[in-house]
Amino acid sequence: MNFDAKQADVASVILPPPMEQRVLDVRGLNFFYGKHQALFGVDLPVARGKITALIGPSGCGKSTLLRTLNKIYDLYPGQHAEGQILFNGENLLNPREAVEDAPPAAGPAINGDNARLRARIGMVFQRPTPFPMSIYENIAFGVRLHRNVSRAQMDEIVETSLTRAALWDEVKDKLDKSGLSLSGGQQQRLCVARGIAVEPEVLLLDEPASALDPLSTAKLETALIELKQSFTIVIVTHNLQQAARISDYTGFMLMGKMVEFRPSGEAFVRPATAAMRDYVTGRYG
Amino acid sequence: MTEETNGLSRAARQDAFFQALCFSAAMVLMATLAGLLVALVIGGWPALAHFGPKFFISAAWDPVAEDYGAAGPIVGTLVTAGLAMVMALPLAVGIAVFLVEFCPAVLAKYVSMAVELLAGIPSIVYGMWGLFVLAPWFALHVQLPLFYVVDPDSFWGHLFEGIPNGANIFTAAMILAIMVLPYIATVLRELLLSVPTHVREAAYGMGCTPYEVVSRIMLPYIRRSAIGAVMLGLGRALGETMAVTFIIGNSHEFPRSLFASGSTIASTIANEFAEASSDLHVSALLALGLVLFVITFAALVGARLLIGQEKA
Repeated sequence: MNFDAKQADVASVILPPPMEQRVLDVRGLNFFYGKHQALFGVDLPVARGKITALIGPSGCGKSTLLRTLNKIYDLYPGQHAEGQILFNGENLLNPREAVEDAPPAAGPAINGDNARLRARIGMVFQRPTPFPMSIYENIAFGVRLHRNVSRAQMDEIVETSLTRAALWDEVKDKLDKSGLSLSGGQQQRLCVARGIAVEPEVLLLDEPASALDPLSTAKLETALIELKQSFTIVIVTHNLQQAARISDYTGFMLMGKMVEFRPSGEAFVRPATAAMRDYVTGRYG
Repeated sequence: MTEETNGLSRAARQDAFFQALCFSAAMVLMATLAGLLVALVIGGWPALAHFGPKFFISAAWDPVAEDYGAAGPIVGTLVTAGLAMVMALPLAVGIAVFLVEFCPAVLAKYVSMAVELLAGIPSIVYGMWGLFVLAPWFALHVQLPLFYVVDPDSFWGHLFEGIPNGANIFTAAMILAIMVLPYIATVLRELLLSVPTHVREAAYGMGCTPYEVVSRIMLPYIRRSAIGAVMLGLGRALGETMAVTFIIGNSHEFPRSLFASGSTIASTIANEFAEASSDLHVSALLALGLVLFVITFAALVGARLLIGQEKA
């Protein structure tokens, strides 16, 4: 990709969803890997019950942005974020800050408790990451972390989650087999099932289909479209068709900035910025 | 065309030569192992034939009366090594987890160095330290107080029975634990580091606390290879000679309590081989060596079986 810095300087075009629809609202986010700044004043409004896609060339910061939303970057001492990530009536980056116009709280205070935050903002990673346990346990494990349920309830949760992730029919007869015994596509849908089993409000997906074949990708996409009735989804993808097919809003990023954020239909048909137009038509530089 | 064929066949010849070289390297190892086993069997045979199965269950060890039974050293070996593993394993897991998951990078360097240093200390140094420092301390601060506090007729009284000189099975196990600790900790640390980043992140991403990530995801992830680390430590504990000889008290009696003097197979052989006067004595010691060989081998096979089970 031959985008140069000048193109990233184009005025950004942001057509966000109305305030009252937002479940997550990122404002003026700067992100640093040590001294290297990777995000520059990024805004990202995430609408409830919609699929928001983040696209852009490699290294544009879309995965970095996604990884701030559940603060998974917190595992690494050198990385830090500045600005506002508003969720549940709080600024995740500064729990003590009083925020006036944040999206309303939908659950108990998070107060900087990362475990509690991640129970409500789940994540599915680029590579399938089944845990070293049975298919059933892969799902039950996460549920048990956050609440006590009876065996019968757990059976039901496992079945519901797997069904919603479009995996139940393929695994219902081998729930006690290791999660690692599944194919790549099945593993990834298992990870989706695992993520939704804890009933998060938001599900983050970091290029979930990049390691999958087309058939598995199609199954995953079908599952995602079904899921948006109950969950808010933010997905990072390299696949423009995928973004156009399944997303409601699309954010186009370039060199650590949010260049364009609009409803997907308009954004793909008629990109507002030259940079995004070049990107979606495959004319680089 | 001819040149090319020649070239190919030369490559093939090289290949065959290389394969043969590797094959013979492996065979040398097999031959050594077999030779060792055969030598031990031949050497130990007179004693084994003389005493029969009694050799393994009798606790007599009397060079004057030429009456040898291996029960004392065998039990001593198993108990000291087992106790050492029980003491070392939790510590090793703690060290490894701390280094990988919680330790600031600056400190990790020094702790790792200390662990590696611990592995580099010659066993005779541990032995001396055990005899001159650990044993007196243990006698004064553990054995004597217990001696006064515990009812000698109770279960605990029998468990802690023994001359309060600090040279006993328990202190030997403590020394062994310190000696195997760095091996197990280092291997466990490498294994924990080998857990893929994305699995670790996924666990945190589910809302796991650090404790849950370690105990529910990372340790189970390395469980299979961790058995290898434990076996490495156990192998060393079973065969460790010098340090144990210093501190175990070298009594051939069957150990009746935790604080009784005892002996291990290795310490017995080290103590007596130079002075073994009769052929039967030498043969009995070689038979002991054979037993140690078999125990170590059995431990390895056991580990393999455990690993195999887990795969299925």
